[in-house]
Amino acid sequence: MPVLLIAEREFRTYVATWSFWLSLMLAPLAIGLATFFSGGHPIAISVQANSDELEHSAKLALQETARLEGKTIVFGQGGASLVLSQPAPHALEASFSDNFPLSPLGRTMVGHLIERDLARAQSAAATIAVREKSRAMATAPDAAKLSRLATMAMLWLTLTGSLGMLLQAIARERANRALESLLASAQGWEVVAGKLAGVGAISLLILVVWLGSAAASLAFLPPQPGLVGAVLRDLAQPLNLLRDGLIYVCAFAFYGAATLVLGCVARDSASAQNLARPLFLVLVAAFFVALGALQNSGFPSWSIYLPPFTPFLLLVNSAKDVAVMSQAILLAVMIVAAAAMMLLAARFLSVAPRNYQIFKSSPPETQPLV
Amino acid sequence: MSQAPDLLRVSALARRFAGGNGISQISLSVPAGSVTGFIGVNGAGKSTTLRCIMGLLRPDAGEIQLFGATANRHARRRIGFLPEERGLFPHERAREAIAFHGRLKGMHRKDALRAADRLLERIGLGPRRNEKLASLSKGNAQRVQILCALVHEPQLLLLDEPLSGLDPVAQADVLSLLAEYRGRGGAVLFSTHSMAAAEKVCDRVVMLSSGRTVFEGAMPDAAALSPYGAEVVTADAQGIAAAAMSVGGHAVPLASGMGEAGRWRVVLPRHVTHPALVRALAEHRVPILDFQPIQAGLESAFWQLARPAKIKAA
Repeated sequence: MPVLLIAEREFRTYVATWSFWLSLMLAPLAIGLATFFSGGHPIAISVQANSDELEHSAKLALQETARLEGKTIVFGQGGASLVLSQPAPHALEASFSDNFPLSPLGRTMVGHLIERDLARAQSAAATIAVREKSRAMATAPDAAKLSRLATMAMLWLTLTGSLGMLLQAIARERANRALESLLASAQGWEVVAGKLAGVGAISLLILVVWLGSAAASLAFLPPQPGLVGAVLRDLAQPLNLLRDGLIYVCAFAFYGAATLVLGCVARDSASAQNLARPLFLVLVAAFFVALGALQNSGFPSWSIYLPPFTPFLLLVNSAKDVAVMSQAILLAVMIVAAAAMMLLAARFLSVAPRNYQIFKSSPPETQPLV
Repeated sequence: MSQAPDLLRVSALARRFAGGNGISQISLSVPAGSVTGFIGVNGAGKSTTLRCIMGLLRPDAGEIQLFGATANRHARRRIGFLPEERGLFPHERAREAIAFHGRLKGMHRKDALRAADRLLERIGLGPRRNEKLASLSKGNAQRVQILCALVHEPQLLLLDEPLSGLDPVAQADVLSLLAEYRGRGGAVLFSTHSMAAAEKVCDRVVMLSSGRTVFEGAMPDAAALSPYGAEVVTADAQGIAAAAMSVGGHAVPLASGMGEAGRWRVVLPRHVTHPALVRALAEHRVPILDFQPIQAGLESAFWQLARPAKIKAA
């Protein structure tokens, strides 16, 4: 199977480079850093007080304040400490250790909350439960938008990187003068399909690791509070992952086939890069159209039917926003377009650059081919 | 003795390019177990013919038969091909590159790697089998590419200028490799500019000129077509013509000369010896500034048959 052999060679070629492993670790690293700096990692705090009632009140106050500051705390020995003492019946002293993880404002808030609880206990007033309805409503849509933006950005990043690889993969065969050797053993479409499959597999592997790291962070790290956690949870939903993967495959097939056409026309690597510039401009345009659609900036809804924009606009819309049948048709159109472009690329590949003659103007005056 | 069947038979092949180049009437055959030299000047159509045979170019007319049937993809898998364009993937290791081409031709991975190792040992590159092609010299990389064509033990080898760019030692190595391959029953069609190499290993020869086959046959038959006689430099045009006629030959003026003296080719009947020509020149008092006997061989036959039209006219 020449297609698989060529794909395997492409895959092995890129996997053997350091840059591949660096790019592979980019998203897991970014997610780890985001988790770290979002304060998601639990912080151990010890609380000392004269009475159990006061200690309980202090812990509630600390939890509430930490949540407001987007931090997770656990109570135990070691780490930061809060020591509470009552030098007089109506006085309370709170002593925070140097490394205490709350801001000065947060520490003041802790004091006020303890004061509130103590006052409530002394007056025997009933507690009033305040539901965080407004806050929850404000956060949820932001998280969904951000997760779609993150997915679209990941597609864009992996796509632009992979298309560069694909362009070089096909252009270098001609540049290295290795094309005739290859075409003597494999047909043009097999070379083109092998290149697409090999680089596509690398690209998909990167995307799977990137998206998979979001799912892994949820599985192996403690639950994350705040926006970062909400975005990660949305990203890691199995159905979302499946849909994102499918869209990515179609997007890579479409843009990859277009890249191959340009790479097959080019005489060498430099002319391949020049020829591919308009394609990368289209990619940039697609990114901004998708960004605009995410913010409801008035882009026409029919732009989703333009194949170059389709994958990005599908990604910034959730699965429920577009009818399933429409999504299936849009993806099928991209695959059909990709197949047509691959055939064209194979045709160009089999012809020496100086002899491009896709359509013959007149038949030669010789005896018919037997 | 029965004649070996033709593994390759090309009849009236034509392929034209924009600008008028190409081939117009190429016919040749490669019998099993033979080494056929494919000779012609640059632009005569050798590479175009080989590309058409391999399916890299679609001919405008003619017929290509491989292994007794019309050429198709399946039959082409039984051919080893070294294209005119030399090049392999520079980041690949030597044994992997050879094995890759073997696998493209249908070999199993282990068999292909084993064959690659054996071939690399054979040409003395065994210790460098795991080096990347970019680190090999041009000559070694070219030898690796020849091994890529040989790895799947093809029945027919098509080699486009396999000796160009190789030093004499490497050339001898490649020629011995071809001799071994032929010894195992393989047939070879290889284009070359080296008449000496062709005379050494070929038993048949096909000569091209301006996109047409001008000779196809056994090597001795080709040599027999070379003109017999001598090249003489003299200022006495009438004398040399008379001397040549006196021994049954004729004199033809050539382009180059020495000052006012002209260079002449005296073509003789095969039974007239060179000393007899010298005696005739002396008898006619022809002053001789230079006398070079024409050696019968492939090169002189080539000049006679396949030199470009513009040189012939001159």
